[in-house]
Amino acid sequence: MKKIIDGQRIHKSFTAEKESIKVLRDVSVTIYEGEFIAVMGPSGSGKSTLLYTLSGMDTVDSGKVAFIHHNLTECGEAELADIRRQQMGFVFQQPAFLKNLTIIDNIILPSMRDNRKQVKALTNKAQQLLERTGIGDLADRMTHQVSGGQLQRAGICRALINEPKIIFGDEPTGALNSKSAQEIMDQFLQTNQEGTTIMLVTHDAKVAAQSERVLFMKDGQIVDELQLGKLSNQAIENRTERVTKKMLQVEM
Amino acid sequence: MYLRMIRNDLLRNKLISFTTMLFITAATALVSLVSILTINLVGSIDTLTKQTQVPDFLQMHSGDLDQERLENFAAGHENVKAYQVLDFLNIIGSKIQLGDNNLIDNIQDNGFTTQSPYFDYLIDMDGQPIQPAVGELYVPIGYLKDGTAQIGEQAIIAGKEFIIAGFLRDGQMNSPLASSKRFLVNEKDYQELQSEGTLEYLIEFQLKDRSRINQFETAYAAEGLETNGPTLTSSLFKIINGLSDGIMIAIILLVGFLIVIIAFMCIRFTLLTKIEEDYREIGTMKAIGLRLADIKKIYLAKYAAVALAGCLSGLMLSFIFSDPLLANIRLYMGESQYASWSMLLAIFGSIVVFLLVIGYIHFLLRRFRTISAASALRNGSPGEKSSRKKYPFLSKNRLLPINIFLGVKDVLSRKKLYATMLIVLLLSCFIMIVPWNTYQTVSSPSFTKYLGFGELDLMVSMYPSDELTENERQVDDFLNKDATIAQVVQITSKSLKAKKEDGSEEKILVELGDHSAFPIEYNTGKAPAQPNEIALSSLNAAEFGKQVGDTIEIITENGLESFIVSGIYSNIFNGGKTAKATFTAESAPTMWLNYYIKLDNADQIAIKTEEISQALPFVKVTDTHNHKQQVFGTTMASIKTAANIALIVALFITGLVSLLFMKLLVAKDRSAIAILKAIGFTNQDLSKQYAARGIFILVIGVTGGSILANTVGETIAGMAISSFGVDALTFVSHPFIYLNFPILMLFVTLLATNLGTSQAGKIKIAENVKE
Ligand SMILES: Nc1ncnc2c1ncn2[C@@H]1O[C@H](COP(=O)(O)OP(=O)(O)OP(=O)(O)O)[C@@H](O)[C@H]1O
Ligand SMILES: [Mg+2]
Repeated sequence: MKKIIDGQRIHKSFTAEKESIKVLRDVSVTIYEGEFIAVMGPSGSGKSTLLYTLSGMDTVDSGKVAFIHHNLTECGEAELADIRRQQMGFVFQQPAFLKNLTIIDNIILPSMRDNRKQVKALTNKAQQLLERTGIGDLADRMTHQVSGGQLQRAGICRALINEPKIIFGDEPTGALNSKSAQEIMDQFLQTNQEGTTIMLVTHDAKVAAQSERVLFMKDGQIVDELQLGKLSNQAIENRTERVTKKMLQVEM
Repeated sequence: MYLRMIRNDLLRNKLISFTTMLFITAATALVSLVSILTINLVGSIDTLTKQTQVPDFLQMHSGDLDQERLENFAAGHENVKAYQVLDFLNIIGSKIQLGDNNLIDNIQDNGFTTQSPYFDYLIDMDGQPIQPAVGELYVPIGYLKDGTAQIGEQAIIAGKEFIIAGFLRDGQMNSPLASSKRFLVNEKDYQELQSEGTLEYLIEFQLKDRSRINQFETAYAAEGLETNGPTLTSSLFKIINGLSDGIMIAIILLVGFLIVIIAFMCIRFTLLTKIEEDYREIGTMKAIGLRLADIKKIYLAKYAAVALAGCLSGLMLSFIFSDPLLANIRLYMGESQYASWSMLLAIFGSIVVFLLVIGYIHFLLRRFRTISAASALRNGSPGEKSSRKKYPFLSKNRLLPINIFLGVKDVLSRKKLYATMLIVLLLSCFIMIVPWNTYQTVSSPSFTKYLGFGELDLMVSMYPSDELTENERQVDDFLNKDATIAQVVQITSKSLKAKKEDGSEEKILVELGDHSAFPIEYNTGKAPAQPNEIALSSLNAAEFGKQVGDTIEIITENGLESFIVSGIYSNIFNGGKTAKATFTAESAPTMWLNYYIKLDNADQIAIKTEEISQALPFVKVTDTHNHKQQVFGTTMASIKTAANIALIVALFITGLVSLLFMKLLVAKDRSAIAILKAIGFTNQDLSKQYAARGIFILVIGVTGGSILANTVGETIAGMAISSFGVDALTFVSHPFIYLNFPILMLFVTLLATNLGTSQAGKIKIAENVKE
C-alpha cells in the first residue's frame, strides 16, 4: 500500500499567557492511499492540531510531515497553498464560506484560480456535485439562505471540486442532527469508495464506526488504535459498540 | 471601571486611536488657524487703515491743477472732513539704485513724496508717521520683503545720494497688487529731486459720512474737477491689502473643512467596526440588564478622551504654526488690534470641533437602540448578511482574474463599508486638484485675457503732450519698420461722457481701436465689431445698469449717440471702469495711447523693450509678462505654496487612511482570509485581492474627485479668483494634474495597502477558520 501522508515524531506547542502548552508530543501517523481514518479523543487532546499539521496548514516545532513525495515541513507558503488547492480538500465543523458569494460560486472558487477559462465546465461539474448531494436547486442561494446541513453538503462539494487525493474533515458532522450527520457520512463513504483518502476528526462514535481505522488521542499523544476494516453490510451497531468501548478505555 | 476599560481599549487599538486623534488634531488646528489668521488679517488691515488714515476718496491726476477751485469745492461740500493734495514724483526705475539693486526691471510706478500734512500718513514699523531727516530715504516695505533693499544701505536716486533709514507702510500702496509705490524723503531733498521726474497729484478727501461715498463721487465728477487719472476709494484699498493673505486663508479653510469631514469618516468607520465587533458583547450586556445609556457611556467616554487630546494638541499646533503664517501680515500691516480676540476665537473654534465630534458620535451610537439582545446573541451582527449582493456571479465571469474579481466583488457587496475610504480618496483628490487648478488658471497666459488684456508681449504707452502727433508718427514709423513684430495695434483711451438712467452724465473711459486683434475673454457677449457697438467692463456695466443688448448713450463729437452693448468683460486695471469700442472721436481728450505688440519670438521681449526705449525715449514700454509676474507674483507664489501643501496633505491623508482602513479590514476579514488560505489561496493572491479593492475604490474616487473638482471646485475657486475682478472663469488645467496626481495617489494607496495588509499572511488558518 502506498503512503499518502507520513507524519514522523511531530512536536507542537502553543504559548498562551506566557505559558507553553505541549499540544502534540512525539506523534507519528501514517495514512495509506484510499484509507478512511477517524481520530477521536477528549476535548483539548490535540485532534484538530494534528489534522492541521498533517495537512500543512499549521507548522510543526519538530518532526516531519510528508505528503506523497512533498516534504510539507520544508515547503514554502505558496507551495503549500498550491498543494492544498490542487490535491487536498477540507470540510470544517462550521461551514467556512465566503459570505458574499453564492453557493455555487463558493464551490468553484478554488478551481477558478487556475482554470478561469473553463468556467462553463467547472460550473457544470459543480452543479452535478450539488445534484448528487441532493441540493442542486440551492446553487444560486447565498450562504445565509440555506440550513447548516445543506451548507455542510455544499462544503463537501467544494472539497471535491478539484478531485483531491485526500479530504480532511474537522468534526464535519459536529453541528448537525443525526439525520443530517448520516447524510454527510454517506457522502464521505461514497467519495472514499471512489478512491479518495479521508481523514475525519470526530466525537461521534457512530461516525467513527463507519471508518476503517480509528486513532485515539489523549494529552497530545496517540494512545491507541482500532482496526475496523472496510465498512460492509455488517451491523453498524457492533462497530459503534467497539469504538465506544475503546473510547471509554482511553479516557479512563 | 470606565477608566480602565477606556485605557485598555485605547492601548489595544493604538493605530485607530492615534489616527482618529491625528485627524481631530488636524481639523482643530486648521479651524483654529483660520480663526487666528482671519481675525489678525482683518485687525491688521483695520490698524493700518487707522494709523495711516487712508483717504476715503482718491483722484489721481497728471497735468495742471487748479488748487483754488479744489479748495473751494472741498470747503463747500458738506460731507468733506479733510482735504489735501499730495505730490507723487514719478521717477523711472533705472534712476533708482537701492544698494546693489537697480529698479530698471521693476514695473511699479515708483514715486517720491514728503510726509502728508493731514492724513494718509506713511508710517514706520511702530505705526508712527515718519519725519525723515535730510539725506534719509524711507523705502516701501515690499522692497524689504523681496530683498531689494536693506536698512543702512546707500541709495542713489537720479544721481543724488541717500541712506536707507528705514521702511514704511503705506495704507493704499502697500500691496504688490497696487501698481504704485511711495518713497519718503525730506522736504529739502524732495525739492532737489523735483526736476528728475514727472509730477502726479493725489487729490485726497476724507469724508464725514463714508456711506455716502457714491454721492460724493458723483458730485466731484459733476463739478468738472481734475480727473486725469484713476479714481480709487478706501474699500478698494482694504480689498487690495487683504487679497493675497485672504486667498491663503480661503485655501486653508477649504482644506480644514474637508479634513473635518475626513475625521468624521474615520470616526464613523472605526466606531461602526467596533460596534459590529462588540455586537455580541453589547447584546450580552443588554441581556444581563445593563442600561443602554451605560453602554453608550463607555463608547462615548473613549472617543471623548481621544477628541479632547486631539483638540488640545490641534489648538497648540495652531498657535505654533500661526506665527510664521502671520509673519507676512505683520510685516506689511503691523500688529493686529484684535490679537487677543484671535486666541479666544481659536479656542472657541476648537470647542466647536470637539462638540461636533461628540455630537456625531452620539448620532452614530443611536443604532444601539436597534440591537436586540436575543438576536445579537443568536445571530451576531446583522450588517453582514442582509446587504450582500449576489451579482456579479463568479460562475459567469470569464474576464477578470479571480483575485481581481474577488476584490471588486467585495467592494460591490459591502458598499457602505468602502464608502468611507471612497469619500476620503475623493476628498483627497479634490484637495489635490482644486488648488493646483487655481494656480494653473491664475498663472496661465490666458488668464490675462480675463483681466481685460489680450495675449500681448509688449505694450508701448504714450501720454498726451504738445508733441503727441509728431511722437505718434515716429512710433508708427518705428513699429511698422520692425520686421520682428508679428502684430501691432493702436488703442487710444479717450475720456467721454455717458448718460446714466437718471439723466446725469458720468465720465467714461473708452478704449478705441481694433479689439479683435488681441481678443480678451468676455463674461458675456463679444467684442465690439461695428462702430455702433461698445463693450463695458463689469464695473461699468453695473454702474450704468446695462446688459448685453442694451443701449447706452454717449456724448461724442456728433452729439448724443446710442451704442449697443456687445459684451461685458472683467478688468481690474484703471480702477476697473473702462469700455471698448471701435468708433473714432478725434476731438475728445486723449488720456493715453497704447500700442499692443506681439513679437515673432517671445524670447526677444527683453531686447525689444530695451531697443524701443532707446529709440523712442518719450514712451513707456511695458513687458506684459513681467508686469503680470510683478503684480500677481506674490499672490501666485502663495497660491502655489498652498497648492503644494494641499498636495502633500492630501497624499498623506490618502496614505494614512488607506493604511488604517486596510488594517481594520484585514482584522474584520480574518475568517474570510483563513477560509481562502485553507482552500489554497496564497498570500500573494490575498495581496492582489486587497490591491484590487484599493485600486477599484481609487479609480472611482479619483474619477468622482476630478468631476467634483471641475464643478464644485471650479465654482469655489472661481469665487476666490473673482476677487481679482474676474467674474466668469473656466478652469485652465494642465494634463499633468489629471495624469500625475492619480498616479501619485495610486502609488501611495498601493504602498499603504501593502503595508496595511501585510498581516493578512500571518493570519493562522486554524485559529480563524472556525467562526
Ligand atoms: N492558537 C492556540 N493558542 C494556544 N493554545 C491553543 C491554540 N490552539 C489550540 N490550543 C490548545 O491546544 C490544545 C489542543 O487543541 P485542539 O484544538 O487540537 O484540541 P481538540 O482535540 O481539537 O479539541 P476539541 O475536541 O475540543 O476540538 C488545547 O488545549 C487548546 O487549548
Ligand atoms: Mg478540535
